[in-house]
Amino acid sequence: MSLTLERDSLAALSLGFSLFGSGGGGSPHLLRLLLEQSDDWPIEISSVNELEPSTPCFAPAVAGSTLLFSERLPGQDAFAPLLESAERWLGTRIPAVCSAEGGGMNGLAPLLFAPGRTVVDADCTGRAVPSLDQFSLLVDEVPGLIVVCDTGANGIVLVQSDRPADIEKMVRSALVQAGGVGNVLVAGFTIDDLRRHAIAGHLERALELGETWMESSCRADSSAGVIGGLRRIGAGRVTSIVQDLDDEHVHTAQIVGERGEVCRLIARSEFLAFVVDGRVHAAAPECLVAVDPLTSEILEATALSVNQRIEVWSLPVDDWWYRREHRLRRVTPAEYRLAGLDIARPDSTRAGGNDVR
Amino acid sequence: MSAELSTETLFAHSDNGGLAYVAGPVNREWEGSEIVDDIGGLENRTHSDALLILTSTLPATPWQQDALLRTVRDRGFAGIACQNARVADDGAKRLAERFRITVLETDDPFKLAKACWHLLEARDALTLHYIRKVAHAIEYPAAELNDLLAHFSANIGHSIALIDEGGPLLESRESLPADLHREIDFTKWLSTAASGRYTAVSVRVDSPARQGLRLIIYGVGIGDRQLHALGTVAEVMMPAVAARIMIDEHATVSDSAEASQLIRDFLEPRSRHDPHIERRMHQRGWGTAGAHVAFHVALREPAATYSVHRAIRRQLETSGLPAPRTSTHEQGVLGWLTFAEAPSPAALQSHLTTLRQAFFSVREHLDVAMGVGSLKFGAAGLVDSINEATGASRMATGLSKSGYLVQVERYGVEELLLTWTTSDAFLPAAETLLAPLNAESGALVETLAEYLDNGSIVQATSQAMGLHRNTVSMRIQRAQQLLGIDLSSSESRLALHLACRAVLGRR
Repeated sequence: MSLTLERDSLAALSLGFSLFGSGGGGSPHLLRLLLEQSDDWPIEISSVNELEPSTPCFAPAVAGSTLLFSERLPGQDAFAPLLESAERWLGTRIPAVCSAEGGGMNGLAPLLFAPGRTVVDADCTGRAVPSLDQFSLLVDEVPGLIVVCDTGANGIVLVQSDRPADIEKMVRSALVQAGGVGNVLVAGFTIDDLRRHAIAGHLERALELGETWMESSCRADSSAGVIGGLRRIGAGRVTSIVQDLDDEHVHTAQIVGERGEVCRLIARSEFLAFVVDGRVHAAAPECLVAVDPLTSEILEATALSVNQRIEVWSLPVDDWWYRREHRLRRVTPAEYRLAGLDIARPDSTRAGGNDVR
Repeated sequence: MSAELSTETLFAHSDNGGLAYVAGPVNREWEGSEIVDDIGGLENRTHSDALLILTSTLPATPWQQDALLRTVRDRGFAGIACQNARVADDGAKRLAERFRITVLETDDPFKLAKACWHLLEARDALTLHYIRKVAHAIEYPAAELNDLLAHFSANIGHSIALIDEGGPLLESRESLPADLHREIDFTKWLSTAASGRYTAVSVRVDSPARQGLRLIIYGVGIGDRQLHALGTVAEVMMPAVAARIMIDEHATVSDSAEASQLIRDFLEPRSRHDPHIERRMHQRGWGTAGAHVAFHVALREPAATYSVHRAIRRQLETSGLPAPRTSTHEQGVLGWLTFAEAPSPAALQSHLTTLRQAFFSVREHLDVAMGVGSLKFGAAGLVDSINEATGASRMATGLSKSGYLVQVERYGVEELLLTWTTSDAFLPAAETLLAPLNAESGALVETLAEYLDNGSIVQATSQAMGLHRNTVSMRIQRAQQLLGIDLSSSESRLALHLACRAVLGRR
C-alpha cells in the first residue's frame, strides 16, 4: 500500500530519522533543506509488496564523517556517477531505491531520486549503524551485492565480495581516500531481497514517530515517560565524559540522576547502552535518544558536554534484528568489544523499569 | 554486630596485604568475609554484611565497575576488596556511597583473607602469627634498646613504647597519646586500655635495673582479639626488653667509667700534649680542635651518677644542640659543645639558651646544679672551659636564687667571687663571723667594711665616712678585739672583706 509523502511531512520525517539515529548517523537537516527546494512534491512511496519482486533496487547513503559532510554540502546529483557505474556493472537500469540506513541523515537519501526512481519503503538497518557490513543485506549475506563508492577527484570504486567485512574495509579505505566522507551506493539486490532481508515500512514508522513526537508539544506529557514507542529511562546532569582506555572511540558520560542514581551513557559513533546503578537498562540494537529537556533538541553523541542536563529515551528497533542470532550479534555492544553491556533478553529489556532506590 | 572484623581492625592488622581505603563508608564492620576468583563464581545466596575479597582486579570500564558493585550489593555484601581498586572512577565511588559498600584496595587478596580469618576465627593463629614476627625481630642485631623496640614494632606492625608513670621513655613508630597513657593501669601484670580510637595492651617489665616500667603496644582500631594476641606478644617480648635494659645499663656504666677516666687523664696537667690521650679522645669522637664550651651538672643530692648522665644525655639529644659530648665527672655529668669555628655571639647565646632550657627540664626531675664555662679554643681551651664549668657548678649548688645555674661567661672573676659570697653556704658563715660586731654596734661592721674597702688606711676611711681618724682607729681596734682576728694578715682581711660584703649586701 503506497504512501504519498507531502513536503509538509518532511519535518516530522526528519525528526523520526533523528530519533532512530541513536545519537549518530548525522543530522538530516541538510538533506531536508535540499529536498524542500525540490519541485517534485508530493513523493509517492511504494511498499515492497506493491512492486514486482524481481525489480532491481539500490540503496544510497553518505558514509564517513558526518561532521565533514556538513562542511561539504552534497549536490543533488552527487550519486549520479555511482548509480551509472552500478547500472553499467549490472547491465540493467535500477528503477527502485530504498534507504540504506534509516537513522540520521541517510533516512532521507532515497527521496533525492524521486520521481525518476520508485522510492520503496524498506530500510537496511532500521537505525543508525557505523559500518556497511551492518546493513541488513550484508548481514544476511545476500549474494550478488555490489557497493559503489566515491574515492575523490571523480574516482569511483566498485566492490563485490561474498565477505561483508571485506566490503566494509575496501569502502572505508575509499572513503579515507575521498577525504573522510563520500557517497556510497549498495546495489545488486531486488525487491524480493528487501522483503526477506530488510526492514519494510521503516519510513512510514519514522514519519509516524516524528509526528507523535511533535504532537506531544515538545513532550509536555513526557512525565508519563512514554511517547509513541519511546520510553523515558533516565534524566540528570552530565558530571563527566571519559574516554575508554582501550578504544579511543568509546566515551562514557556519567550522569547523576534526579534521585542520585549513577547513570552511564556509553557511546561510540552512536549511543550504545544506558546503565543505571550498575544495571543495563537499554542497549543496542535498541536506539537511545539523548534530549536537551530545555530546548527539546535531539543531541548527537558528540554534542554531550559536562554539566549539561539531559533526558535519555529508549526506542525499540524493528524485530528483524532479533529474529536471527547472527543479526543480533552484529549490533549489540559486544560487536564493538564492549563487555558487560549486552542485554540477553531484549523483551525483558523493554518491559524493564527503573529500579533505582 | 561483631567489631572483630572492621575497617579499623583490618587496617590495624600488620599483615593485611597492603590494604587501602578507596570509597564508601569509612568505618564499617563485617560479619564475615569470603574470597572468590570471580564475582560470577559466588553461590547465588546472600552473604549478610560480609566483606567480599576478589582475587581478580577491579574492571577497567566504569560500567563494569558499577555492575560489580551492584552484584556485591545484591548478594548482600557490605564491602569489597580487590587489586587495583584505586582505578574506580568517580561514578563508581559515588555508587559505592549510594549502596553503602566500602571499597578497599589490597595488593595481596590472600593475605587479606588470612587477616580476616585471624580476626574472626583464629585467635591462636593470630597470636602465633605475631609471635613469629617477634622471633624474626630478635634475629636482627640491635645496638641498644631503642633498636630492639624498633625491630619489634616494625615486625608486628604496631607502635611500641617503654613507659613509666611519668610518661613514655622510649617510643617506636607512633607517639603514645597522653590520654591513652593516663588510662593505663600500672598495678596489674597485664592490662588493656582505650582512649578515643586508640587501644593498647601493656605488661609490667620486671627489671632489677629500673622499677615501674611497662612495655605497651598500641594503635588505632586494634580489636579485642588483636589485643588478646598482642598481650601474649607483649609477655613474650618483655624478658627480651628487660634483658636489654640490663645489658644497656651495664654498657652505660662501663662506658661511663671509661669515659670518666679519660676525662680525668685529659685534665691532668702532666698529661697535656700526651699523644696517647689525644688519640683516645679522638677515638671517642671527642676532637679537641676548634672552639669549646663546657658545662658541668653537679648533683645536689645523692643519686646514681650514670642514671643522671642518662637523663641528661636524653634531654640533650632532643634539645637540638650540636652533638654534645658527655661523661660522668666529679659527682656529676660533664659535657661540652664543640664548634669547628668560633660561633657568632648570637649563635653562642642561642646554644646556651637551649642548654639552660635543657638543664631546667632536667631539674624538674632531678636536684642538680649546673656551671657553664666560657668559650675557649683548642685542647688547652677545652681544659680551661671544663675547669671553669666544674668550678662554677660547685658554686651553683649553693645558689638557689640563680636557679642553681652559674655561667662563667656572664660574670667577671670578681663578680663571680662576689656572687659566690651570696651563696646559701657562705652567708650564714659570714653572719656568724661578724655577729660579735653586730651585737655591740652596727657601726662597727660598716666602719670595718669601709676600712677594708679603703686599703686598710685609717685616714682614707675617716675621709670617706666623714669621721675623725681617732674614731675610726678606735672602732677598728674594738672590732679586732671582738673578732679576735689579726688584721695584719692578708687572708684574714680577705675573709672579713668578703663577709662584710655578704652581710651588708643582704641588708
